Amino acid sequence: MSADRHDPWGRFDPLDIPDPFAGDEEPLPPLPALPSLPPSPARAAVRLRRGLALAVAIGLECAIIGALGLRAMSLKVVLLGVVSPVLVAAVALTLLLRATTTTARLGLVASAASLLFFVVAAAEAHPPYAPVAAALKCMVVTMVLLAAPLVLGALALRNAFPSGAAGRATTLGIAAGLLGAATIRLHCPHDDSLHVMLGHGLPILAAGVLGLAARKILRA
Amino acid sequence: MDTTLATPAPPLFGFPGLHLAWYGTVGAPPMTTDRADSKAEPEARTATSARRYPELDALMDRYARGEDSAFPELYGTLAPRIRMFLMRLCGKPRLADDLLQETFLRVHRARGSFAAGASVVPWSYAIARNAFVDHGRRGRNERTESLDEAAPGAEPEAPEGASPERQLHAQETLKVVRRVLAELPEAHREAFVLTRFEGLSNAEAAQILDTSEGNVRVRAFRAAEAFRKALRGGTEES
Repeated sequence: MSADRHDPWGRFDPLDIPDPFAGDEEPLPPLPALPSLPPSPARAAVRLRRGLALAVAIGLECAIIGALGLRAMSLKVVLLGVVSPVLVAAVALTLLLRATTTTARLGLVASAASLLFFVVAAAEAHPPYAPVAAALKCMVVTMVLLAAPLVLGALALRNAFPSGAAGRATTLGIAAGLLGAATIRLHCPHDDSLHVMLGHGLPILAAGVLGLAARKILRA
Repeated sequence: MDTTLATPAPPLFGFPGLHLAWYGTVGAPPMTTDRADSKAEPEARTATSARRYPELDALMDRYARGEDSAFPELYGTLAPRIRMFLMRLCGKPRLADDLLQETFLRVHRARGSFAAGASVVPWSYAIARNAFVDHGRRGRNERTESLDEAAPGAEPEAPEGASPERQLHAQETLKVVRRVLAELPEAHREAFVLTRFEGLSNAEAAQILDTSEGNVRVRAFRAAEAFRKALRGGTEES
């Protein structure tokens, strides 16, 4: 770097840092032949795959809850226990599909969604309290309920995200968990907060961890 | 179709002492050895969200819609730039070529997920970075010791007609830059390469690195500080 490229006060300009690889433009390696590449779905097929995954996931939830049977519900339970988790899950899914969303923002959304669920559950508290065995049973059923949207979502979003795959996968897990937790409320007769937090809430967190574990599937 | 990837004209940077301010602006200028270039065409600065390669985006859009015929043109246009990016990250021409192939294989696999209206440059850079990161995880990345032997035919070029003393100085400077680049923490190197040498905006770099723009600025600034220390040290010693 020549002296005349510095200012007389000895300050430093990042523009003075030369590119060590400038001028290294060698011929490109040969173009990969398309017939030799594995088949890859175009955008329309990917959209169809995602739509089908969503439809099948919802269908499976409905089938399982239909087999288990619906409970009698008050408007409060419908709004707080069913509608609000589904809405939060929809917002989380929308955010994770946006290219500019970073893991930090998604982490915030996922944490807020989980926290909201527990706060709502805590606000619902009313005895009689359900036995712990009932919470364990709900935990298992909720895990089954969230498995379908989680697996189908991961498959539908395979290779979809070049960046932020970990955050997106975790958010997908949380969203699947919220969907499972909303669905179990359609069946589970227990409304006390401890039961909802343990039996319905813990699987949401478990789904987040499972989603994080599946992050490689989502990464391009 | 003109899909040249020449980066936009460099932004303003008229204040040598204004370190952080440079990183606080939009995309860094592409590397030039002529300082006068950095002050040219200030009106060409673009907003961080502006789409800078609409033709290339349209090309990728066609490919994402299933038009296989767009692939050769996309490769021919995008590959040189991705290759240089990978070179700057890994320092080995042969490895960069392998990673380039891997990158385009991934681009092919993920084409259906490329959103309509999205920008292909940060998208493909992020895929290239993933290919590089995965290669490093597999334990085959020997970048640090390779930099001095990287691009063996590419000795630093001094300005034409420069004095021997100036040529020697330029070569020494490039050696220092290569060494510092190799020694930088990965996060700092990526941010610096993207914003400084690749001419991407902070927003684009943040999207590629999955972090905030502020974080990109800080990382690039720290990298520049490392260069400053090394180059000043070298200058003072000589």
